[in-house]
Amino acid sequence: MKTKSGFMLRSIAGCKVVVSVGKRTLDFNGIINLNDTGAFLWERLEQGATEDELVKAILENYTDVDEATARQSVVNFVKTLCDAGCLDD
Amino acid sequence: MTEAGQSAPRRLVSLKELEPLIREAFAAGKAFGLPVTGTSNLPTLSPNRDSILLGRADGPLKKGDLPLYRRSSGQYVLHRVVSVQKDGSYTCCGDNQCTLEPGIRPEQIIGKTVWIRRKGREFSPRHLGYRLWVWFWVLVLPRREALFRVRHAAGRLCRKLFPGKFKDHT
Repeated sequence: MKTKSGFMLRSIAGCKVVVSVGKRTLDFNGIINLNDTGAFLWERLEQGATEDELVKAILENYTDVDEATARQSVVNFVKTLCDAGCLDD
Repeated sequence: MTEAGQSAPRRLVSLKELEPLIREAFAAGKAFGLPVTGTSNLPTLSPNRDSILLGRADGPLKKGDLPLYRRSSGQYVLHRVVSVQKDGSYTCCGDNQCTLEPGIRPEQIIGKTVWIRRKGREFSPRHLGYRLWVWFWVLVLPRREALFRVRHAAGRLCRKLFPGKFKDHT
């Protein structure tokens, strides 16, 4: 899975936002606000991480979460991005 | 860990905050996507429905261009150039407005609209249909107030004749 080219993750006043910088992403009519975990996963999705790699990255970086919770979180996040048209097929 | 699928607290991002990102995108040779907010460019562009790509304004703007500029007050506005003055300044006006805003200087221009997504259709501002619409809408600018009154009266009449079929915007 990979984020579509044409999105840019940046920090505005301490908040992580994803903005659109290309025609391919213009159908996403808005600006995405991400929390810290969302931004963490987005950065990995920019590199084309798989679901398993995202879960592994969460488990390595967050000590207060078990694998089932991490996987559910990844699935929810990926679904949200897919619905918003942010990921390449 | 915060649930990633759960969105961050909703907050409005101001154009002032976005301006550095817009300039960063321009410096990288990219355009910047912006959702249309506000009603000042109706009926051409509708908030929560349409979006634009903002590109770097290379060279002077032309009549009909749709730039984003910063007013002296600091407010950011996306309004159409309706005339270019001899001193190089622009007079702008929203498509849903009748009041002209003269004296917009080139240094106030952040960028101009280079791509439009309207009702799910995408096109360049060079698209013939769009250009014809802009030409017509700028041409009727002196009569726009009267047109708005006619539209308002027609809307009222339709709502009276067919109650429930038309949205009440009042």
